[in-house]
Amino acid sequence: MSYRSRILLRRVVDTAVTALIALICLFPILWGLSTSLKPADRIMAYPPRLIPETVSFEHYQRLWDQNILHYVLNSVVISAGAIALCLTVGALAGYGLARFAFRGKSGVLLVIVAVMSVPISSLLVPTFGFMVDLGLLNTRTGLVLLYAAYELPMAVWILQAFFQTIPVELERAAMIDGYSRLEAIRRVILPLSTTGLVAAGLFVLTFSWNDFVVALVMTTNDDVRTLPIAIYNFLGYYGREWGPLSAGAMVSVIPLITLFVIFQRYFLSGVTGGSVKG
Amino acid sequence: MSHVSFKSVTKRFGKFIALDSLDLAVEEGEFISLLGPSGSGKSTTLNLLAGLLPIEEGEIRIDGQLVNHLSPDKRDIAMVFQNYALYPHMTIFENIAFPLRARRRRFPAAEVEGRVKAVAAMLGVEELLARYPKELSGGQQQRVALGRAMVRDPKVFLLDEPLSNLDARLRIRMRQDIKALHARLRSTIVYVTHDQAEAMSLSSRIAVFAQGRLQQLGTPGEIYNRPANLFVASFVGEREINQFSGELQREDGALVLAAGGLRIPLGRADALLGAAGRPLVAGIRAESLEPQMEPGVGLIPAQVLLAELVGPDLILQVKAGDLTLDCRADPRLAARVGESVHLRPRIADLHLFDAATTRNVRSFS
Repeated sequence: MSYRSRILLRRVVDTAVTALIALICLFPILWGLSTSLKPADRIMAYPPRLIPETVSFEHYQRLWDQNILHYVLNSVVISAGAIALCLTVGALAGYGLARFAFRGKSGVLLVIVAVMSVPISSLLVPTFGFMVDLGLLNTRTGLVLLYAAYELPMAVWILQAFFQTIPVELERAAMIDGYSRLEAIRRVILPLSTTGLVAAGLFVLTFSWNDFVVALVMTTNDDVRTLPIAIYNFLGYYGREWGPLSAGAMVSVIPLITLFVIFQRYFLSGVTGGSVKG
Repeated sequence: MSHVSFKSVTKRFGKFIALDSLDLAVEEGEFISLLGPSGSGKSTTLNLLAGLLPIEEGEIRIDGQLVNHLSPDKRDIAMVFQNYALYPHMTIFENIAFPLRARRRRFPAAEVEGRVKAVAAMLGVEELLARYPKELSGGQQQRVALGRAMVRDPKVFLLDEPLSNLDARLRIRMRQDIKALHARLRSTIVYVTHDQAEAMSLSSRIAVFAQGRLQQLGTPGEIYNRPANLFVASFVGEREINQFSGELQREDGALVLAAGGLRIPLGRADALLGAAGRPLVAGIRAESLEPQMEPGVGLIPAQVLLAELVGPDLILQVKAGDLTLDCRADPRLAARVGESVHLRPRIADLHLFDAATTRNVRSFS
C-alpha cells in the first residue's frame, strides 16, 4: 500500500470513529429534536423514525401560547447578570493572584480549589436561610448573586491561569507608556484575554442556564422562574405529552449548543501570538 | 545637576541583596550602559529607575525630582524591553501611538498621526504601520519598539537588552542605528546589557556591575585600559585577559614582576612600590603581548601551543615559563605550533591586582 493510500485510510478511519462518537453523544438530542418536530399523532408511531415524515411546529406553538418567552427572558437576564458579575470580580481577583506575590497566596488558591469541590446541594439549606434574611428570595438578583458565587472560584481559577500566560512586560510597557495599572489591564490585558474570558464565561453560562435545583429552591413566584423550572412544570401540566416536552427541552438546549459552536474557535486561537519573541 | 541620580539605593529580595548601596549620576544627553553578568544588579537598577520595582532604601531622582514614590506612568520615561513587548492586538500605528493616547497626554488626532508618521519614517517602518506585530520580523519589531519609546520625547530612555534577541549581524547593524539615533536625539539613555562589545561601542560611559555592586564607572577607554579590579578586567574585552599570580620584587632600584618562573622587568615604577612583596594577580591583554620571531632584550621567550586565525587577528596560545598566555600577533607572522616566539609585553598595559581584595594596585587618579 502506498503511503498516500495509507494516509487516506487513516483519515477515513479517524473521521468514522469521530463521527460515531459524535453520533452516540448527540443521539438523545437528535431524538428530542425529531420528536419535537413530529405531529402529535406520529410521535409514538411504529416503527420509530429519526427523520419525521412531516415537520410540524405545533408543539412550539403551544409553548409560545404558554408564554415560554417569559421564562427564556428570565434565564437570559439571570445568566447574563451572573456572567457579568463573575467575570468582573473574577478578572480582578485572577489578575491579583496572577501578578502579585503576597502572604497567604497559596492558601487563597488552595481554598479556591477546595470550594469548587463542595456540592451545591449541601449548601442549599444554609443559603436558603441566608437569602430569606437578605430578602432576596424570589428575586432575579438573588439568583444572579448565587450563580456568580457558585461559579466564581472556577472563573478566578481559569482567569488567573490565563493571565499568567500573558507576558508581564506588556502591562509594564503600558504603564511606562503612561497608563495606570487599571487602564493597562483594561486596554492591554483584557483585550488579549478573550479566550480566557470566553472560557470562564461559558462555565458560568452553562451552570446558570441549566441550573434547576437552586432556582427551584430559591424561587416560588412564576414571575422570576427560569426556563428549566418551566420545563419541569410542563411535565406536570402536559402529563406524558412528549411533543411539547421535547420542544421545551430543545428551546433550553439549542441556544447553549449554538454559543459553544460559535465560541469554539476562541479556545483554539492563540491570541497572544507575536506579542513577544523568545 | 545630573539628570538621573541614584543615592545609596539598596534593593533586597528577602535576604538576597540585589543592589547594594548604589550611587550613580547620569548627565543629561549621556548614553550610559549598565554592564554586568546576569544577577549583577543591572536590571534591578533599571527596574527601580522605571518604577517597576518599589524602592525601599535610598533616593532616585530624575531631573532633580524625587521619583521614589511615583508610579511608572508619572515618571516620563520610555522603555524598550528585551522581548519588545509590542501590543499584539494593535496595529503598528496603534502601538506607536499608544503612549500619545494616555490620559495624561491625549494629543489631538492630527498630531498623533503626524508624530507617529515622523517616527516611523525615521526608523524606516512607514510601510508597516497597518500590520500587526506578529507579521513583522525580529528586527522590524525592534524598530517599532524603539519608535514607541521615541514618539513622545521622554526625559530618559531605558533600554533593557534590546538587541539580545537579534542575530549577530542584525545586532551589529542595530547597534550602529541606535548610536546614530542617540547622536541625533541627544537624549539621555540608560542601556542595560551583558554584552561588553555593545557597551563599549555605544556608551559615553559604562557602569560595570557584579554581585549587586557598582564595580567601576567610566568611559569605555577607562574601563578597558584602567580596570578598577580583576572582575572588570576579565569581564570587559573580546577575550578574557591573561591572569596569573606573581609578586613584585626590587632589583637594582627597579621593579621586577616574578611570576610562573618568569621575571618581567617593569622599570622604575614608583607608583607600584607599595605593592612590593604582597601576593598579586597580574593581568595583561592579548594585544599587549606582541609576539615576534627574533629574540631581543626584555622579551619573554615562549613556545606556541595553538594558533587561531580570527578574522584580521592571529591569536597564539603560548607557553612562557609555567604560564599559558594568549597573545595577538600580526597574521603575517609565520609562527607555527611548536615553534619558539618572543613576547614583547607593553608594560603600560600590565595590570596588577591585589590578590586579596582584587583591586588594581596602580592608583589611577
